[in-house]
Amino acid sequence: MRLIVAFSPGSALDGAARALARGAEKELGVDIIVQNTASGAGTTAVAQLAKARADGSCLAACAGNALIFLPRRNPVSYDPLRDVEPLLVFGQASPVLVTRPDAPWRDMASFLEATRKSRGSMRIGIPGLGSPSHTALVMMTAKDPSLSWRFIPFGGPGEAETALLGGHVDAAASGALPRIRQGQLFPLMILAGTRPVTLPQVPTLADGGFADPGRGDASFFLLAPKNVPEETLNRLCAAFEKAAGSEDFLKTLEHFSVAPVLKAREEAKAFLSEAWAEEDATLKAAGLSR
Amino acid sequence: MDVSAVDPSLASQAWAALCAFPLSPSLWLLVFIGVFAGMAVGVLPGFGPPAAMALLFPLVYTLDPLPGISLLAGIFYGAKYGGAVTSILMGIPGEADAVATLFEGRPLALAGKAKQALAAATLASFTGGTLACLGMALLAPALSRAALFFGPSGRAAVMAGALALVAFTSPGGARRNLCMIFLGLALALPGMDPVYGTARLTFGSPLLSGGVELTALLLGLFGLGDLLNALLQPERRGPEQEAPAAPPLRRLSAAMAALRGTLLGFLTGLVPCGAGVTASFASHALEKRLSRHPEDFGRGAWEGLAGPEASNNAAAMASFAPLLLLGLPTNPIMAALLGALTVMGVVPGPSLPQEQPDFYQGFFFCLIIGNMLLLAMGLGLAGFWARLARLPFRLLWPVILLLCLTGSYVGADGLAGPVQCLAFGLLAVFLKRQGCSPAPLVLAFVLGPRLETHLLQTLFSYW
Repeated sequence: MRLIVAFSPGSALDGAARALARGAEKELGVDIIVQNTASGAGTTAVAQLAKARADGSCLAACAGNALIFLPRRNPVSYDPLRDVEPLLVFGQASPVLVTRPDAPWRDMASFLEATRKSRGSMRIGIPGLGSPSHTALVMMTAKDPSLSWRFIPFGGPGEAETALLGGHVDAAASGALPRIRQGQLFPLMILAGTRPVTLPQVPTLADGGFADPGRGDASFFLLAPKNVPEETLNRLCAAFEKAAGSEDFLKTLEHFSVAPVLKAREEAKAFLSEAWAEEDATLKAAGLSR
Repeated sequence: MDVSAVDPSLASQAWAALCAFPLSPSLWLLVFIGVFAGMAVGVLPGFGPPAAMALLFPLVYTLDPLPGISLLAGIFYGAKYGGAVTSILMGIPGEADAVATLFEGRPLALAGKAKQALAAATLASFTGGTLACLGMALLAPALSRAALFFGPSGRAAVMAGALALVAFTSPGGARRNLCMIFLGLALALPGMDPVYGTARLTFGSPLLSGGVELTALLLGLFGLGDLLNALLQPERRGPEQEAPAAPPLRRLSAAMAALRGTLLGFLTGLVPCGAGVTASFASHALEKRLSRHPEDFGRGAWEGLAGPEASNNAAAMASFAPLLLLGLPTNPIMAALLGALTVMGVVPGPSLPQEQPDFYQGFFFCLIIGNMLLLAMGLGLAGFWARLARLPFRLLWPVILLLCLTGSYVGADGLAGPVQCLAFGLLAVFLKRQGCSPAPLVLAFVLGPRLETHLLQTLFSYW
């Protein structure tokens, strides 16, 4: 079996998906080969899945933005509501905006102040165009026109962090928690409405008076192609749900500072269409819809 | 860098390293399994290391970090060596890294020196791998910082430099080679845009929706291309009869080539920009420039075999530095290793050597053990492989054809592979008639998407 992961290795989605695959492997008694297809902020992976053979031998794990935000911005070869079948929601990311520990700004307020002074020449490394953290930042600039940044798209959070450590960008959207703990990265703000328990002192979007770009975009989805036999789907769902409930998996989520939001198949499906509708309103409010 | 400040820590690190030398027989056995499995998949094009690693993953999760990672790492560099074997014997590079080995290794095999060529490649590969491991164990913490200095613009520049180097040093003349480079870059365009994620230039065809498949390109341009060339020229019964005599082996200069290749590979391996391919092509180009017998190149110059082999193995070893010390995987195989490390509770990062010195030092020793096993196996099996090369062409060509078609099918995971492979076979025949070398095309194709990404990142940074 193959599991296509929509982000590059080392990212929260990748960590969570790999942990999930390991649990499900035990349940299903088959090996699951994890393949990272990070390009196009995850749309490439979903497009690959939509074309895959519908026999349950190929699944994909992606962040909701590949299903909700990106298809509105770019022409994609799949219809997110029709061509794929959500099996599970297995977490919700709370990306952290980070900078170097030796950077001159020590909190969000001074960072925003510096942004206004620089008049749009500050660079933020993002883990892909249209990734949830990118959307969140764009919506900040929409809310407050005095803010603007140059967004540099990377293949994943790991690459963006490396560019940050090398001084090629001023901040990176979504830093890995272990590195924040080790003091290699300094957290400025959580680019989501909810705060992970592990970073109690860092402000969230809501604290800064900005809108949450939508929980749908930041949720992790497990997808199957359309028209997989019902019997196979039930077997897969049962295995993956059991894996998602395991102690090991929840520990992995905590390690990557992902909120343990779990939704089974029916719920996940309803959540996707709900988030799709919500997104219209949010994007219109932010002036982002085409 | 302040040398006096580094020296004491070097000595203490060396001492710590010696203490950590792993002696457990089960560890040696696992490294052996890894290297052997890697070599086996390396000689089967298409069925690359990721597949073999995926098969062994369930086993790895039951092991401790050190044996587990050493087993997986063994597959990685064992497969690189296996790729060199098929390059030399049959002219089919299973991986882009093995293309530069083919330039000199293939003519040597055709001239009846397959056994010596394999032995030379093995020795060079061992030298590159072992020296790079030692360098890593001692210097990596300082050197891995260098990788950070290469931002998007730096990496784009390194790649453009590599392409220019190859254009001006490959046989055929700069004008033809530049054409090949642009053709390679153009071939890398169809499929998904690496930054925007939109489909482009696919003409709505499923054969192009995934872009051009690297395995199909390699097997088509080299394996199938040679085959078609031989079959389309009936007056020559097979490639073995047109081979000129091989140039003499100059041991000292070949050894020097291997050392230069090691240094080049080690440095390129630390910077994540297509390490193995860039290093081996650059090493071949460098050796040709430095050689007192540049006319031997392309006819089986030993320096041109030793240099690239040493450099691609050194680069393979050095690419563990960004993985372990920065948590930065530079290729899909390293990515799989990162996943395995995370599962086993090893957090890669600059503090790894201090936090888990046993693992860190032990790992480099396992790499060295693996290289020694590879050396033993390579030299031991060279005679056996070489006997395969002496098979008459009429027996060999169906095997090559089969390997090309199945390899490209596996690589592309569908019929698009063999179709593209056949197309590239025909392209290779055309290019050969025009006097063009397909090598710059391969390098440009491999570096194309990364060059594009880094170029765009640079443009976004300033504009």
